[in-house]
Amino acid sequence: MNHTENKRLITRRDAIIIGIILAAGVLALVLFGTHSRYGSKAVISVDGKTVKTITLSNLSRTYELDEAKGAVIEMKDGAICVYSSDCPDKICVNTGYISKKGEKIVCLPKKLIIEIE
Amino acid sequence: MSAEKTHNRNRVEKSRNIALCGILLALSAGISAAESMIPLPLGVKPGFSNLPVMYSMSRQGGKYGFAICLLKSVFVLLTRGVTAFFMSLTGGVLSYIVMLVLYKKTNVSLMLMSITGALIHNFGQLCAASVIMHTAVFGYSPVMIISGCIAGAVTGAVLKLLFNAMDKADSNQGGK
Repeated sequence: MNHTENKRLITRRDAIIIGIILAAGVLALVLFGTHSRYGSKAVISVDGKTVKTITLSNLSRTYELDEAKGAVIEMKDGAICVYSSDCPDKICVNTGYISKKGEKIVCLPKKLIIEIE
Repeated sequence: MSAEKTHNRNRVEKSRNIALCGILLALSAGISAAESMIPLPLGVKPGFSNLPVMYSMSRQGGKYGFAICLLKSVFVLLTRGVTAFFMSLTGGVLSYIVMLVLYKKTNVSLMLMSITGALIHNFGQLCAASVIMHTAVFGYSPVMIISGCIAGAVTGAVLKLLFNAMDKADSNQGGK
């Protein structure tokens, strides 16, 4: 197959297919994605098992769990975040604060999931 | 006599390919390390470390690209731990196989090949994450579809530009 024949960066067909995929992604995001409503509690699970449920409030508190050592979870102004973690990639910390229904923080190395309900 | 010449030429060709393969692996590992410093949420990455892999696959052949793909994951194991290795390997190998089949068996454009690769890569990582977490994390699918499509399109465009520039360089040299 000759792949060098067409010098154009993007063809009409490519653009149409990209458009369809993006549209499908946005549609899926609207249908199954995060809601705009604020959640009332944060469910923390480790290795598929729920270990703690935190009722979100305006209090400032930090939590450290025995099941996920090294991660500091912080609640503030009705939102929750992983404040610091000793995992290598820091994806959980970079996710930042979450407060809306369906939003999630995931830390793969610690098998930790925080989800707002 | 001429059989010996051919044999020698094949050996030179093979040595050159292995050396180039090593350079491309180093390039890929370097890009991957640089990308891991970008703090995007959910670990979304542009995926430029896949450029040397795709280049190797199309210009050197399937097995060289596959070697880079596997060894890149070993580099991740050494630098970022077992979890990251497992994620890298699943996404990398799955997307590589799909891209190789697309490249060899169809005449799909580099752009679409790259996007498909990125989407399959994300899908493989979601599967790997679900296995690691013992919970299905497919709730991320919409975000992964959108980010994969954009990242794949950008990578595909860069790849196309690279190939065009390289073809031009080759033809200036009088066709290699």
